[in-house]
Amino acid sequence: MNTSSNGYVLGFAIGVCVIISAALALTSAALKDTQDAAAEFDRQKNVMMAAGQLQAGDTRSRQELEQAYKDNVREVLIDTETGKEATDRKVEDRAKMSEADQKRYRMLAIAKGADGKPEAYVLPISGKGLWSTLYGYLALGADATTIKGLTFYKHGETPGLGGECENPEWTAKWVGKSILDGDKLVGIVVKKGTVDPAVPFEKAHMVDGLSGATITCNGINKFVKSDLKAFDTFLGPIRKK
Amino acid sequence: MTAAMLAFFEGNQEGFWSILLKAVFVENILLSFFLGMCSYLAVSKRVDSAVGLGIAVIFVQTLTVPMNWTVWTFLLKPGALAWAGMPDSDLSYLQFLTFIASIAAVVQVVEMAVDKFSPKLYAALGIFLPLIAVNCAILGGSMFMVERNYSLTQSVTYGVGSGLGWALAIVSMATIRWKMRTAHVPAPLRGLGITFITTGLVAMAFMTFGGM
Amino acid sequence: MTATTTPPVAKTSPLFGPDELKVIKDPLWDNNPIALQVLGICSALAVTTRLDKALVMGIGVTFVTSIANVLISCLRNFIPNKIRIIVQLVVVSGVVIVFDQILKAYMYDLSKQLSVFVGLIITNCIVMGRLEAYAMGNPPWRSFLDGIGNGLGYMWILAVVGAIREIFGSGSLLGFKVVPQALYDAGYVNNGLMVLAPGAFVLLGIIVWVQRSISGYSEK
Repeated sequence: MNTSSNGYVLGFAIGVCVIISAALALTSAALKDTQDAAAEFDRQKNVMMAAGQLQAGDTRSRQELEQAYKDNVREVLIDTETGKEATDRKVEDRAKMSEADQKRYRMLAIAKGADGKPEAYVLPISGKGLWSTLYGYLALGADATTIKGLTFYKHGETPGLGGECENPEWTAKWVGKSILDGDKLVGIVVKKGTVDPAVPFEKAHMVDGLSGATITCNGINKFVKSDLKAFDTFLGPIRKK
Repeated sequence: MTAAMLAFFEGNQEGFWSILLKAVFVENILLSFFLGMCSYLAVSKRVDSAVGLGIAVIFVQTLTVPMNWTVWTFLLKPGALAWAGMPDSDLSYLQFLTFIASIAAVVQVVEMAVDKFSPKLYAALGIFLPLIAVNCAILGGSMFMVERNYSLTQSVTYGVGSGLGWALAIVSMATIRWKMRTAHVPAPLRGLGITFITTGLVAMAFMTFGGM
Repeated sequence: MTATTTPPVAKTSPLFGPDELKVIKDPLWDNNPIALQVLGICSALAVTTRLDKALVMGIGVTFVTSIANVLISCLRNFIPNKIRIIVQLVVVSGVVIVFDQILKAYMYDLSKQLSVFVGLIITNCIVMGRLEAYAMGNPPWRSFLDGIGNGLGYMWILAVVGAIREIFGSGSLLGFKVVPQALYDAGYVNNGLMVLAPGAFVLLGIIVWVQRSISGYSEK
């Protein structure tokens, strides 16, 4: 067979492309559901981790965790203009809303404790770091003021520097800090350097910075505060109770 | 880095200079992401060939990153085919395949164009071009572009910057290796071993551009 | 680059004879892809900040090299020489995409951490190097073994680098704390440099040094 004729080369190239594309389309279609489920499970785990209902080294199986999520966590859609749950729209449809609507209607996960009362309010946070958009969950305790936990589940920051934002040892430093100074929303400030516990404001509202990642930290400061602010209409009344 | 420059960085996180300088120095694609190591190790023995390959990489990187941006934005990413009336499309699983194919095509076209219009340049760069299609710095640049959600102008900037960074790294390494020929390096450490350790030191020096 | 060409062997040998064993064993030490052939360094360093990442990457490269070797070896008599490299690239990217999809479906956490580096297996010189040097001239079964051997040879170096970087950089191994708390109390701190790029370079340089001192190989 003459394998160097132009016709053969062209035919071979087309044949290889068609076969490989078909094989890939098949694999992709076959695995799509499993992948989506895996991504969803990962998201749920992060919500539970932020809410303090899941610790590292937990031995529960995937089914048990999914069941626990179903039992304890309720996802609601908040209309941030009125501060009420949006009754006419569903959480699942949020991804399809227009950008302005996505800003207005936000998902919030309410995790309940053993007594059935809300134990944590988990808000999705996201914003620019140095390289990438960071996505995470910030959980507030039942008083809607104290940080209960924080996780970042997706980011493209430099491993070892900005990427340390997902390090549990660092996120643990957030726990117990307060987002309110009196009545004023101050958010949480990631300090450049280490927090001085002798200064009351730093002790209450600031956490140690990540060394070598100032821009990532500045980004986190900014979007944590703006996301908290967006939920103020909803969280405000809870605080007053 | 001076305080004034730093202030500039923090003020314009997504600005032109910030992406450019970061891609060249702080987040050098070779020294902090290890991309393009194979050709780096193979070609950094001589300064002139390092310069040639460096220029070729800058050139191809500048072309392929924006090109793959276009392919990604208008064909592959979820919902990209909305302009063709298919808003639910998701061809992102073809990303690797399409990227590598378009890189190979660009390299081929560049090779032919250079050959046609500037035989002199071809004589200098020609042998390096085929090496580039399988250089992970090129494919990596395109994939980082996707991962970091760059806009078109940002991806052009990133293409130039990462190419420059790679070229800078290989040329400085080639000069060091040239000097090292006369040094007494223990036999088993010679070549690959000492090159790695030196690269480590160079990488450490580049890290100090960070400071942020 | 010093990719070695192994001459084709007679086809009458048993399914798994001494020759086949040699095909697998050779790349593990005497002809290690990283230390001696100088192939596939790129990803070797980027993913070795933790042992589990290094292992998954090793498995990925083994999977891709062996499957791509078999496919190309089956096609070797039909591939037109002119478009050889492109065909190889296309086949390799196909296999890599399959691996990436499987990873996303069943090991979501790790796939997130490996991010773009899974895709970069395509340009991993080990894969292309073995296709060119071995699969284009040998029958499928042997090419498969060659792929496995080279993948494993790559994996163990990755695992060593990954283990050292994780122990000294994060004080843990496979996510479990191994450095006792008492040591931290006594003032020990994790070496942050290990997690960053320069640590990896220096460490790999030293590993190559040790491997070559023992195997007696030296350049020039």
